[in-house]
Amino acid sequence: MKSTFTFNKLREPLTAYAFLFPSLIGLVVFILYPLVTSFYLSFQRWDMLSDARFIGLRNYQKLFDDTDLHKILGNTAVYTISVVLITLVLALLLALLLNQQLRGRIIFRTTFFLPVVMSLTAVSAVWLWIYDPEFGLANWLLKLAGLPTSKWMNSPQSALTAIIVMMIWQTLGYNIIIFLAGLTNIRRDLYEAASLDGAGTWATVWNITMPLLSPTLVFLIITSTIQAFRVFDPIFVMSGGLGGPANSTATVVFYLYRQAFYNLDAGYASAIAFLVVAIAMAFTALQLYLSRRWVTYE
Amino acid sequence: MSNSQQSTVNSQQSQTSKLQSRVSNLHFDWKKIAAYAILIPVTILVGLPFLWMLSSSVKSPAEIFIDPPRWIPNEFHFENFVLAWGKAPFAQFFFNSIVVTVSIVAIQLTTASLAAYAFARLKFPGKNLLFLLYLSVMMVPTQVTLIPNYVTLSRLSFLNTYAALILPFIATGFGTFLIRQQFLSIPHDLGDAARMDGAGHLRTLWHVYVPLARPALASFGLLSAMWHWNDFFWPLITTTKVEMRTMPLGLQVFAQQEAGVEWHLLMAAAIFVAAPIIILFMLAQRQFIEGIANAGVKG
Amino acid sequence: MRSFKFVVLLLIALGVLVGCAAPTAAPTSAPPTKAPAPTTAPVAQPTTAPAVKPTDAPKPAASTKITVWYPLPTTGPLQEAMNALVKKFNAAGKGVEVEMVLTGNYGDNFTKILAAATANNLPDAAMVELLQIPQLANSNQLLALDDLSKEADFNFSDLAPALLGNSYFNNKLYAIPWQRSTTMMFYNRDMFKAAGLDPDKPPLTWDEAKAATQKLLAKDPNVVPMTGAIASDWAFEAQLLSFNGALLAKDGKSATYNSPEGIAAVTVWRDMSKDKLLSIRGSGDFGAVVNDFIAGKNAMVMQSIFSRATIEQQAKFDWDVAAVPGGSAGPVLNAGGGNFVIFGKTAPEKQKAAWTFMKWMTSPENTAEYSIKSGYLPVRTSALNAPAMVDYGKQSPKTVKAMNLALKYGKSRAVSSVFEKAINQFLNPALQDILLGTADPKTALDAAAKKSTDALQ
Repeated sequence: MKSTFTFNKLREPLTAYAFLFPSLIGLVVFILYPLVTSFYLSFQRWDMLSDARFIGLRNYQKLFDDTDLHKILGNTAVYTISVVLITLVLALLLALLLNQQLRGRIIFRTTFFLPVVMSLTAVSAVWLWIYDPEFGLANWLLKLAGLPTSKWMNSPQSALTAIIVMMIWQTLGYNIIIFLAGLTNIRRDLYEAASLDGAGTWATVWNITMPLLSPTLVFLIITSTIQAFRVFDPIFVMSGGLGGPANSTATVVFYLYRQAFYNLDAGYASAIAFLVVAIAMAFTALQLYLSRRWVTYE
Repeated sequence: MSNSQQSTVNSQQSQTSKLQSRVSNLHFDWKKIAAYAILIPVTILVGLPFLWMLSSSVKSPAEIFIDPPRWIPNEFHFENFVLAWGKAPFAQFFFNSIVVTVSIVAIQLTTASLAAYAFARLKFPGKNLLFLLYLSVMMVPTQVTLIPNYVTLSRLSFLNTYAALILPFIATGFGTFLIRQQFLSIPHDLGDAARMDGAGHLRTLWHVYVPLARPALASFGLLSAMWHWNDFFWPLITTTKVEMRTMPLGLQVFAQQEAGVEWHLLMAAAIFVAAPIIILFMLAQRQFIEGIANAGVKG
Repeated sequence: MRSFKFVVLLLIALGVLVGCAAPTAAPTSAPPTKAPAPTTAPVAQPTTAPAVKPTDAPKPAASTKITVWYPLPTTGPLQEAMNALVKKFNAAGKGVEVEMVLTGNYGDNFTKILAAATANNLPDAAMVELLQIPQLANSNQLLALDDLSKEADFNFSDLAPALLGNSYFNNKLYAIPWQRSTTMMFYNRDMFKAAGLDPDKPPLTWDEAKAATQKLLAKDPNVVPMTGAIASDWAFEAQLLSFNGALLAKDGKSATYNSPEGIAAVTVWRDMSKDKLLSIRGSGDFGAVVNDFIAGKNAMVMQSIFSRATIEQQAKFDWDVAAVPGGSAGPVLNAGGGNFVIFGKTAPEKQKAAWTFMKWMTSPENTAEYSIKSGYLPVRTSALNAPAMVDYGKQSPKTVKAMNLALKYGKSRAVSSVFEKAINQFLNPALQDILLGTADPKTALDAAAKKSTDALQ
């Protein structure tokens, strides 16, 4: 970037800080300050009702000893990988299909976006009905297709899958919208040039769309991973606030919430929070590093 | 600046390109058939739960649990919507939700565009570290910030005010990141040209970057509106007065687990709670996404 | 392009507008508290109030304002019932004015209490879920009510013993029962008759229940004879008590739910579930089972007494209510729900005002009124003979029958300040593994009880 012409060296950084200032206030007061508080708390035993007591590294020690937490981290990994991968692939495919002159595409787009908008309270009520083992829609569809039925939310073996399916349904539209926003940024003339050159559909997608869509893709991979990793609301609502059956749908942020607000162990909850942030940071740094190697910015 | 000239050139280009694509599309009609063949069944599958909500919302309580499920009710009870609306002070909730959501979205679009421009186009010490800080906002679970933020707002005497519902959300890591990515994909020479003409950074942002990143700004605005419109937990914790509560808190009325859910009313309420965002989406997608694709702004 | 600018400008303008509106919203909500400096209002209120008040004492007309948090959503039949009572109380000339704040449900109510305790912003009194009360009592947040409960105009001994056990912590009284319910068994009399069962003799023991469900299944293989969202601590604790077991040892220092009684208690359910006689649902399905019963998909459902109103309104068949079958000790119905508490840091005269309110609410007439309107249990035995309740019994005999059963077979739940942390956290997953999954009862309960005992020490 060569934009140093008339500006002296100090002006640009000062402009940058001025631009960052409004959001930085919010960040410092409502994110950074709570985070610092919580870091302090992670060395304490505190039930939010009486005075905190310093206990050194015991909360961090517990992260290693807590076998339930390890199982729950496994659940979280399964959830995150399934939801992110399946949703991204489906959304990309659908966005590519939708990014052409089709009749009724407003209907298609709106339908995909509807689940994103609906309140989770209502959505989960519908899905609990869909997953009813005796009379639900899901098993009705499976029977129609000649497949074996499932107990869905009523069995530790299938409950997490049930929530994964619901969340793919719910986040699909959001991913499609972001992809479409990215696709509209791609210059039409590039496609036309390609089609004049006689490039096939796949070649065009692979050689033009994908590279130019890569900033969007990076954005979606990173944000979807973070969002999936810290999933809480659907777990809470679908399992009636319990992460069950048998902890099978408990994820790490749900576990954190349970430690803090059920067990009143805010110190341990804070230690888990730092584990969450550390894992998310590590993933993001890795993804950003990898993305630098293949992302194309115009 | 040559803004207007450029756009006339753009529209001319897009006119010709539309013609060209229409010509080339003649050969590829099978592609559209394939597209419909995939899109139609997937759309139906995705739409099923919503159709069920829609059909349940106009059923009588007795008809909801008929086995096998009946998609088209025998009699339509549109009064369910009136009934549900009357079950809570929804008019007040609606007003509060509008005030809170519009304020948050407006503030976030402003703060995030400014920050995104700084991260995308300006050089300054500490850039990477600060960017990581913005990203980390997305990583901190809200369950962790809950108590400290409640205490802060309580000290400021902001509990039970709009300020409590708005202030914690003035900065957005997600929005900053999304808009930065879009700004990065805008060719440098456009911004440089503007600045060569003597425009300051603020004017460059406003006249060059914001218009070109419209799809991203619109998408983010929409998503942010949706998230804050549907936020349940924060308004519940920071308000104790009915006059300060928002739409999602009204939904709770219908989902009393012990008594059995009032499905027909819950579904009717869920639909009118979501309606403003659905309408916004339908307007937004015509205005922003389609409009841009057709006008070929980037051409 | 122009329209986009317009939209953005509009949004910003609205933002500014709201920015201005926000500060004005604060003062308008402040006057009712009438606390000294508006900037410190929420924090300073409890501490500064008593210093000012004594001078006001001679004026009897000035009423003491108290805030009571109550875990209900903003509207609904319960809220209407509570509102009517509070209105009546405020008009009764007791010198107390109650402002009831609705806080959603038990979980959200407690989260709000925790946040408020941290910000030193607690209300004067609240209704709290009974398992959460020992946690508050243990950290000295609650006012002990022993002395107040001895007041002459409060008939303490009439409070239902089945509901009172969970009011104590370390031998002190901290709570007065209020919004309480037990699990009952609702059954479809038509289905009983069709299967050749006597609808006037519902099963009292699990042996009888097994025989009855076998007959029902033989009659109609498409029906699941019995169901309930019972794979959790609440239903299991009642089942355990009915087998003469207990969750905790007497000293509260170790878990005993993996005793032979505990294993027998859970194995009965597991075996019936295997034989398709009993369908055990997750606790997220609490509402769904009522709907299924009403739709005639089950002959018997174990469900909160609170669901009686829904069943009464919607069931198109002849239904009845009975105690949940029991083990060797006979049926046990353990009452869950919420109790009234008064916070310890609130000013003494506000505590007194809160007590006046609680006394009034729990009078036989008023508890009967709330019970009739809400479906919860009356908290006094004498309330069953209150005129309103007797009248109601003529109208809805099954309801009063259910209430009598609940108080007759009622037992208290275990009391522990670490109930969630030490028991539920480990017991619930184990129960669900056994009842919904494939875990062996003994192995799973042993492992969970070991973790519980570790956490208790």
